[in-house]
Amino acid sequence: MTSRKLSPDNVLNFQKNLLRERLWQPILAFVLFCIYYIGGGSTAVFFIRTTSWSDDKSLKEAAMMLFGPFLPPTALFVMAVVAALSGYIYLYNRQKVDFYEAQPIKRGFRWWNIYFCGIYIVIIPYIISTLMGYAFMTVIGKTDMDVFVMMVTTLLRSTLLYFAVYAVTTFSAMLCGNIIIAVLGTIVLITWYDNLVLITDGIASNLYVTYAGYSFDGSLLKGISLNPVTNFAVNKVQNNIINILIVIAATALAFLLYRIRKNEMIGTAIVFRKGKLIVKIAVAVLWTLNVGWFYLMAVEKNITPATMLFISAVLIVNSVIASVIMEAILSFNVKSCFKNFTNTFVVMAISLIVFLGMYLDLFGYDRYLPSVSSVESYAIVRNAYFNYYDEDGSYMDQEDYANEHMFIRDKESMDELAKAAVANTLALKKSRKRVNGYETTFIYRLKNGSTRCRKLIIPYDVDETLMNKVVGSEEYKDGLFAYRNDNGFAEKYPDDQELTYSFRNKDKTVQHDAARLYEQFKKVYDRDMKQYDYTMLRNEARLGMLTFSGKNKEERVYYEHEIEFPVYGCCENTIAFLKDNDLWIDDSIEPYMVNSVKVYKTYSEPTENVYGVGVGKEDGVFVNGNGDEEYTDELMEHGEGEKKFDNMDDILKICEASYICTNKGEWLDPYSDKAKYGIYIDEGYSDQNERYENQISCVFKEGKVPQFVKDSIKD
Amino acid sequence: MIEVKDLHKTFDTGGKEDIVHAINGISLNIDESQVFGLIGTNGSGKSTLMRIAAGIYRPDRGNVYIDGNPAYDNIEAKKKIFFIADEPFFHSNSTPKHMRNYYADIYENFDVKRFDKLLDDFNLSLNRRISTFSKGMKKQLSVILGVCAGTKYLMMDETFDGLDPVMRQAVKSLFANDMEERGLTPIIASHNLRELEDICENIGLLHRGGVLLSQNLENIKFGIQKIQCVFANEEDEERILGGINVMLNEKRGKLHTITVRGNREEVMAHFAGFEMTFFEMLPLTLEEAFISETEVVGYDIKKIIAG
Repeated sequence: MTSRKLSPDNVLNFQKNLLRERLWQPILAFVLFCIYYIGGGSTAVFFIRTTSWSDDKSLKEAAMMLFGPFLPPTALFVMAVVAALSGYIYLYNRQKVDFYEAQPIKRGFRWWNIYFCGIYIVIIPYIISTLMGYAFMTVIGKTDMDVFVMMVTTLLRSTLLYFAVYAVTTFSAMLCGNIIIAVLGTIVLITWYDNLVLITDGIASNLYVTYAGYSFDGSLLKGISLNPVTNFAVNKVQNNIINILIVIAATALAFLLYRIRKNEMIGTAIVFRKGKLIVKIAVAVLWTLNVGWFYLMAVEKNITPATMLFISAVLIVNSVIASVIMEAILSFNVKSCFKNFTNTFVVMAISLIVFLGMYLDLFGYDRYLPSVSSVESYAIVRNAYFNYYDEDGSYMDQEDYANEHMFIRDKESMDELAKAAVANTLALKKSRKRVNGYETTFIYRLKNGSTRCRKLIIPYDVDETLMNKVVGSEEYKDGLFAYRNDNGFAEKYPDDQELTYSFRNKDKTVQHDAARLYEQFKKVYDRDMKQYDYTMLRNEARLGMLTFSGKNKEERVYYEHEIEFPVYGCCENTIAFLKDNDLWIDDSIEPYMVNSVKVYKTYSEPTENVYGVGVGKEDGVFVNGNGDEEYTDELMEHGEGEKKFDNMDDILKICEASYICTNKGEWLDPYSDKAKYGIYIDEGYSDQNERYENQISCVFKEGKVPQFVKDSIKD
Repeated sequence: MIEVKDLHKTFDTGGKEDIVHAINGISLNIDESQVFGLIGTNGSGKSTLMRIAAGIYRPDRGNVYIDGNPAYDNIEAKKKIFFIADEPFFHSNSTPKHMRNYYADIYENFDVKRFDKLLDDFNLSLNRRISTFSKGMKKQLSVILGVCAGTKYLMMDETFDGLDPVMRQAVKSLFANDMEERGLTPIIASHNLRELEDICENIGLLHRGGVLLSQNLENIKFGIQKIQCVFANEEDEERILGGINVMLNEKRGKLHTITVRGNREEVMAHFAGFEMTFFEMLPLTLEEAFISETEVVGYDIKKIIAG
């Protein structure tokens, strides 16, 4: 070999020497993966074939599990860290640095050869063993196109994960002068982003009253992370793109650091003086914020000036502790832990600015609402307790569903509503009273492509006309009712289709011709939903729920998908349809079947307490005569604010004045009788073995609460 | 030639007060085909200078040029240098054969056959694990590897320290042979002046990051003479010594040990003109020459070159 310029001959020889030094790594990787794929596969096949469920489906399931993204990526993560650190470990040893750096080899040449060696010594054995495992499973087990696709996608994803972790570890190795710090640095570099997002979200959700905690900013940013493992787990296109960018950026930065790092800094924690300062402050700030967040969670929603003062003191103390410990770690000397103490004040300042800035809303977050002119469309979400699914059949949050399907363009109405809501929310925060309104999430889709989200509490006394414009709009219903965007639901899930009506703990189901009935029902329901608006929901409680469900045998996990239709008393066409198709369940109460009736009070005046984000009156927080808070179920046990009626006269009057419902509704008028009182009708046991109590939930018709009930139950 | 031009190097060990000026403006030249000795105590900057010359450390200011090429990250410069560290490194579980093959891949002029022969001459086994070698044997192996690499310059950082006298002699013979045959230039760093006295031709003395002295050894010795004498008449002492450049004069009873500047003939001629009870010219050791040179400047050189 002559000059160490980059030529194929030189590279091959160099790689040969490198491989000789690191031969144990590819051998170990190959052996471990072979044990997993071949050993694990044969074990799984053996157990399946010797049991009663020995069939192709089980064998295929076993193959899918074997080639799925579980153990191999975990092993690759560890191997990536080991490969990166072992390749550059010579930089931490003076003897080795003298040995290698004195040789007539360009430093860049050496670095890149080590870099690529660290990749192929693991990836090639991984690929070979995976293919061997696949061939083996094809022979002894069951593989098909699904298994092949799973194998290939896991291979690609895991390889990308390996590249990303390897690149980040290499960056850490170049930054540090000691292997222990390099390992710690790798852990910090991989996890810092997720930790920062988590604590920022946690702190903001406690200190910002309008913080919604969702990110809908375009399809690129939602769910992404700078943690390669998180991106691997989320596994959307954007996550994989971010991982590729992580590989490129971390590799480039690592090489840059190598070029400028000084060989004589062997043994120091961080090789660069300014780097040490940045690392110390950054880690100390993260530590302090984590501790502050912990204390915030400990006080729950009891955010008062006194608690914030206490937390500020905690932040100051922890700034000192974190800075001192970091200095000791980075100096490898406990005695020098108080050196560079001025950095501590920087940590303190940052931590206090974050906490107090959010608490005092110095950055204007709580007060901010996008201007009407900058908004493209809106969505508004009030928890309706429906089930939603995306196009792939995966469960979706209601906010996600609304973001995809609700496009309200009545900007003036939405803006007016939002302003009323934010004023109410901030007033509650200031007064530190409990939530006094409808908690909603407002989603703003801006013209620049970004999205903003706010949790706002619409006041109970909001203008009804305004609310009807919003809640009664077709756009609102599009984002609330899944049937309006069913995307060929019946064709997608053609197996085990059922139409089920659920009411008063009973179900009625139609299976035959369910899809056709479903299509018919949608049209009927649409006619009734023309009256759906805020006023209707304040007056009507939900009777029952009609559900159309289906499955798809081709799905890996065979579970039921549903579309739900709440049924209200005013939906005459819907009720008629249910009766015509033998789905209707009688909603009348037979008083002579009733053993007793329990009536309880659910409403109380808001008390001086922290501002919090409750979920309306149904959660039943009650303040008893001593001024203590109690939850409704505790109320029931203690018997305060409730009364049991078992006199037939009383039962008759109460039954006549009430009706059965499954849900009081999301836009419940808190001052209505429906809201103020809850009724449980006890019809004894629903089964012969007396295991299940038959309790029916009811509400009073408006203005029909019997006087004797009012007199019996005190506030 | 190796040229060191206004070289500066600092080490950052931590806080503001922890900047160490390892090399503080050194300039010197190392001629070819001559053995150069680099002397200095611990912390004087010898190892740092060696490592900068070997391209391991990057200088802060100034540079080291190997036949006109800057040393750091420069293949053309590094091809001409073989560096042996004070604690040489070998691959784990390797044998001399492995290391031979490894270096043969790196240094294009590596002489494999000569390596095998020298190994045999030095009674080292080709296939025995180096981890079982003693410290001295490892150093011998390093020197053999270095000599067989065929480079123009061979830098050894405190390699001679710890070699037994027989081995030192053998190594000196090797150097002499290669210097004559192919113009090898050995550069040896040590804190032991006595060990280098009979091998080095040029000496550089470092102290606290600077060069105190860089001269040819013979030139140093040529200009200084050491005399032991007893004056016939003590009253003549002042008159006798007044006519020459006395550097040091130690008296024990009537016996004077005098170090004077001047060549041998001049000094002999001067003392011939006086009646002496006893007169002898003694060989001057390198240490004595250094002491003489540096005490004049004000350094307590004994502390520097303690061996």
